[in-house]
Amino acid sequence: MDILGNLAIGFGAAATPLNLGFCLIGVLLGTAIGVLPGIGPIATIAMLLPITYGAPPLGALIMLAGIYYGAQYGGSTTAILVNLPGESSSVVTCLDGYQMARKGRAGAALSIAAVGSLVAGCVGTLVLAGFAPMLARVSDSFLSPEYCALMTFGLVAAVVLAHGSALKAVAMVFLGLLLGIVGTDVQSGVVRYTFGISELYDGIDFVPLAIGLFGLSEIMRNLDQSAMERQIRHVVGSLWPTREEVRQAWPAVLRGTGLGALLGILPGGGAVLSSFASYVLEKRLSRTPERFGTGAPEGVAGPESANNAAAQTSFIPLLTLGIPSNPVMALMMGAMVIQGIAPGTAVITEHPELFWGMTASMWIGNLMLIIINLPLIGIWVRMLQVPYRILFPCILVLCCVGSYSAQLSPTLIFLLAIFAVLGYVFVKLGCEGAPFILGFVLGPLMEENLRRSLVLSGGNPIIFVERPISLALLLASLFLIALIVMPRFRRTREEAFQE
Amino acid sequence: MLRVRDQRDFWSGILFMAFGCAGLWFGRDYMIGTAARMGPGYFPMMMSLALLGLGGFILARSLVTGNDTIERIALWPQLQIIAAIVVFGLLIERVGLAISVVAVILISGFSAQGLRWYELVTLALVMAAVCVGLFVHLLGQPIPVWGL
Repeated sequence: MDILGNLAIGFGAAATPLNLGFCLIGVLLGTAIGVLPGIGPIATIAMLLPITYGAPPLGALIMLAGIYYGAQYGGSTTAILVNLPGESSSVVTCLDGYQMARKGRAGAALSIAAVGSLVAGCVGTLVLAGFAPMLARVSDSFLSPEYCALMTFGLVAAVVLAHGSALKAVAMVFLGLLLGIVGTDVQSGVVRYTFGISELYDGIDFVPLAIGLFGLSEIMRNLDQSAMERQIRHVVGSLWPTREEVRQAWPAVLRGTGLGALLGILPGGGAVLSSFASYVLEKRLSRTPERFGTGAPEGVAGPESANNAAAQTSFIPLLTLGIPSNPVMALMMGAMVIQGIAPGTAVITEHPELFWGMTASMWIGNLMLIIINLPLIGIWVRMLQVPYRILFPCILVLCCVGSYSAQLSPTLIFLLAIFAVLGYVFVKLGCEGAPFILGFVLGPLMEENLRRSLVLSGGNPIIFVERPISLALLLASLFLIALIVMPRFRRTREEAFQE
Repeated sequence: MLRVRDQRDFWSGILFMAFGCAGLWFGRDYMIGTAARMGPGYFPMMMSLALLGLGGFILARSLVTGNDTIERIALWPQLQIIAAIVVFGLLIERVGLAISVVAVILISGFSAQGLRWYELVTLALVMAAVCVGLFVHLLGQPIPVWGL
């Protein structure tokens, strides 16, 4: 196999001083913002997206990937130290991580999370390197109907995995699809829903939408909760886990890695699902399940490894098929488009140094995280102590300047205000942002492929069930819908989100 | 008597229906075409109709089952945030980045029990310097620092 050769190309491209610098900046910034409670990877990436504009394509992607890992790592730090999940995938880490902190083992919990992430990162990189070119070859045979079916499957999966009401999640997908097609229709040249605003001719700009929906709405929601004071009562303690802790943690790391790598590839999968699944798996396999929830190292090691492995492998659908599988990947897709790269099969064949460089940089980024962040833990702890009333005006400024620099037009700032309000309303009404943003990104693709499929078949929808791959994907979507409708699964789903 | 049992679903339904109606109304002039030859209006119409239908169903359901209220809304801070963003949009091309950033911090950070005025002013000046340094000098964004 030429995987090793390709990886060598990748490391060659990623290990230049400039790109290492981008990686370092991304990892540090991602951790810094990700540590802030209530701000998860999605909001972090949305806020930091404009920082990457000035960089060359590979540098920008490396920085973004770094931001992603950094944000995830920062989120688990917050979860362990203050029991506040920065985002849904750290919810599980809170359970046992915070309990370990209460026993004075916060340092050990942080190290276990970091080392588990590194192991998962290495495996995830290999899976990405081995699997992506294979999938890219399969997808060469894809025509419009397959793409339609694949997107349908991805969107259905996003609905199934959304918290709360599935019906509202479906409506959010449609709303996303509708807003996604704003702008010039490529086929007819008709300009749709722009109200004469020239900034909308190329579609609603991704940056203010993402920042408003995931960044600002989060700030606004936090402001509703008056008592936002956080306290760190527990000392971090030694970073070294005891021999007993290592013994308990390492099998969980391996299992979590495997599970995460697998679940990450699935559309709709990714960090959140895999960390939940890994926690449940560890609890089932354990001979002493009663220790879970009271500070079991496995409960930190498994989910943290799983979400990192999944974070890596969830790049596979984006880089090979051009279909983002979760909101973070939707943001990555937006970033790639801004850099002038069309995600999809062409990334591997036409920009090999980009694909392999990014793959390699993920591994480098994980290594940097562990080398840099464990000694720096004191800084993050101090950041957690900065009062919110000082932090949020600063974050607000970053959001404004970031949106403005997307097109250097004040119109984008007003769009930002609109999406901040809309995002806040969604939060208050219990409507999930994740299905919305996936629909938004996929809107134009969905319309184009639907049109092409039906041109191929002369308007007959039978084309979607005549082609085997398309049929299989649609049946899988139906299966997911059936799961949701069935009362038994619905209960487990609600229980899973309860925890 | 009919009453709203689930406030969140009720207003979600209204929101989705409003978007559906807006989609149909503002898209009324786009040619629809046929399934085999879709016009620019075909896909938006499908989405709008779906939103209208789903919104209606969610709204109807909220009158029958459920029990959910909307959490507390702290109106004043929210208005401050939105006002700060809008002011930034109005100012940025008139007086440049530095003063706009100061305005955002002053508007959003001002509150009775929050920062004292000199702390707020210090924060505003520091952030203005950071933004100019980061976005204009380090990242090379062509943003006017002191107006056009």
